[in-house]
Amino acid sequence: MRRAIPVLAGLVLLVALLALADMSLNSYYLRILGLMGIYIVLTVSLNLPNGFTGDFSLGHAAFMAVGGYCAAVLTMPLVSKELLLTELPTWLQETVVPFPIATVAGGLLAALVALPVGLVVLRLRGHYLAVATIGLLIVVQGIATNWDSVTRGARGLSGLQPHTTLWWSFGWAVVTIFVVWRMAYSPFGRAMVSIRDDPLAAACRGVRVFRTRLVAFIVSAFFAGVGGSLLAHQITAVTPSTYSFDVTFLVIIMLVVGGMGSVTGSVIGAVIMTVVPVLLRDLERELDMVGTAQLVIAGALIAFMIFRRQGLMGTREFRLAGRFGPKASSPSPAPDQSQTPTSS
Amino acid sequence: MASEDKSDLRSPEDRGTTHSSADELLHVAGLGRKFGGLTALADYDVDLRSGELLGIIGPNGAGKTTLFNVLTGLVPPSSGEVRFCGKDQTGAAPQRLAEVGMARTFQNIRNFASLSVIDNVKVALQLHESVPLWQTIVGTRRYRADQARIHDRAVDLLELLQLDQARDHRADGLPYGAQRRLEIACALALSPKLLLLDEPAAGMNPTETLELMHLIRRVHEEFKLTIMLIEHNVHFIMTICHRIQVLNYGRVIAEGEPAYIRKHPAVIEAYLGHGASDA
Ligand SMILES: Nc1ncnc2c1ncn2[C@@H]1O[C@H](COP(=O)(O)OP(=O)(O)OP(=O)(O)O)[C@@H](O)[C@H]1O
Ligand SMILES: [Mg+2]
Repeated sequence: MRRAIPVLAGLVLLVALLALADMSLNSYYLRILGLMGIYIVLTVSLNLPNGFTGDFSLGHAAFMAVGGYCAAVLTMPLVSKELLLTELPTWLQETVVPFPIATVAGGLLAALVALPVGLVVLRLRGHYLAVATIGLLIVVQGIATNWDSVTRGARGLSGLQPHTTLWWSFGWAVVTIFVVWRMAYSPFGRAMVSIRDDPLAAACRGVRVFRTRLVAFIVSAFFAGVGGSLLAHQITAVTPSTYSFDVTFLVIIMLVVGGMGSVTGSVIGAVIMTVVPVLLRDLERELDMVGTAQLVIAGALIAFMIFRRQGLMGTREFRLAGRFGPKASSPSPAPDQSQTPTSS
Repeated sequence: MASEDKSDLRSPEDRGTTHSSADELLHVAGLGRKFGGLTALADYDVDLRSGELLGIIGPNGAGKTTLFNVLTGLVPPSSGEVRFCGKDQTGAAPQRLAEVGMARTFQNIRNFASLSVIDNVKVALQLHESVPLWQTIVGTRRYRADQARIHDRAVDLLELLQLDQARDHRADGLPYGAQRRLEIACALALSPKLLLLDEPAAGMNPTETLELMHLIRRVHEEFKLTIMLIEHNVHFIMTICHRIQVLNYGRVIAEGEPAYIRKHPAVIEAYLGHGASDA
């Protein structure tokens, strides 16, 4: 497996860099770096429906909320549970689950919720689907705000342990990239892209269109749930506003900036849109021009959409080894042998 | 190469089985489709035996494409029944019909634009080679073996259709004739029993058209395919088809051997009157 060597080298480099950052950065920057890992998880996973099957979902934050609340309830220390969550069933009241397991459980619950949701909303496509997933976000927000016995409504769940280290957030980022990459560049990925290009023709070519879209949606929801748990245990609290529209749109922006349909593009988009706002905020404080950072980012995004709508990477991938995706359309038209006359 | 292909590209269940009613592959009776007040197709009947090559001609808007759309499940029929391989498939979904052995090409080419040429073919080859998703993610040995086999078959098909040199190019970057051949490659990749070709020579120059004619004959014989062919090029269709149906205003107005069709007064009236000269 020659291809594995550059990937392994990359992983080693990542570990070294993270260790270095862990030792040298202050807690503020460590937090931001951790957030970067979480955003990579979220953006790369959102790429499955939005970038690859062409189902533009705006419901990512809803699945984050499901995973985040689920994991939070599971990891909350017994003392806090006795104080805050008195109405839980006793078996839940008396169990504390280790963070990694709670995170997986959060992801699984989000995936489980995505099944019936997907069966309904994936009957739609395009704008209708986007609107329906906003509806999902509103419903989940409503539940989080009103289901007092589990979520404590608008007060939320506080007093969580800060489990989300740099290692967890980037560990999950690597897992997400790996899984999504394997899905995207496989028969499953070809099916996804064929659906994005032309769903009817895909069906005529034997692609199980609905099932493929549903699976992409569910896997995406799983990692959203994981991301929700990671975020909860970084902030050490969850409230309905932790998983608001803002989060959905931030992740959408990361996805679009990176290039929908490119896994490495998603990573790049997440990194840039985590780092640039922070740098700009530092700069605006230095220059004493508070508020300008937001404007600059908004302006840059508009310009970006005008001049490079396909995002930084388009649907191409940055690869450590091997070739880039399909060769571009225009240069060197394929040899059309039928042009050469063979008979009179 | 060609004779090995034959065994490779047929689906396993297709080999050696005989269907209940002798070798009848497709039975269509009373098929109709209305769009609002417009009757695009009415009372359409056909019986196709395995290995037949049926041509369908008719003026613009006659309902030829609608017939294919109804047969392949893109548009549900308003009336009538379709039996394929002895089973009722009336109103079945396109994916299901692809599975049981119907493959088509489109009049307005519909390859997957952002996939490479070879990946377009692989999408279709995957129909009979699906792997569980977890095996894909883990990358099991079986998965890798399957992928290698799919790759080889895709390369074979691309060679057959003279597309092998373009295999890594985006499908939408190909010249017109090559895009049409790619559609045929994808349709063949489904290992179909029945191949429906909707104006495969449209937009091709005379040389390309001639080559396509040879190609259709060749796959018809080598893959023992049954073919339904829509074509405006009268010479083309008269040369390669055993039997021809003429559609006009959604109805079959004549049916028979090429020689018979050529002389049929209703056909000359409806169709050949305008089109005979460009043959
Ligand atoms: N989806 C649709 N909705 C409404 N009308 C349709 C639809 N599809 C086809 N028609 C109509 O049905 C009639 C038959 O069209 P069809 O495309 O089957 O003709 P055709 O024989 O393939 O013609 P051509 O030679 O131009 O391809 C036309 O009048 C067309 O406008
Ligand atoms: Mg037509």
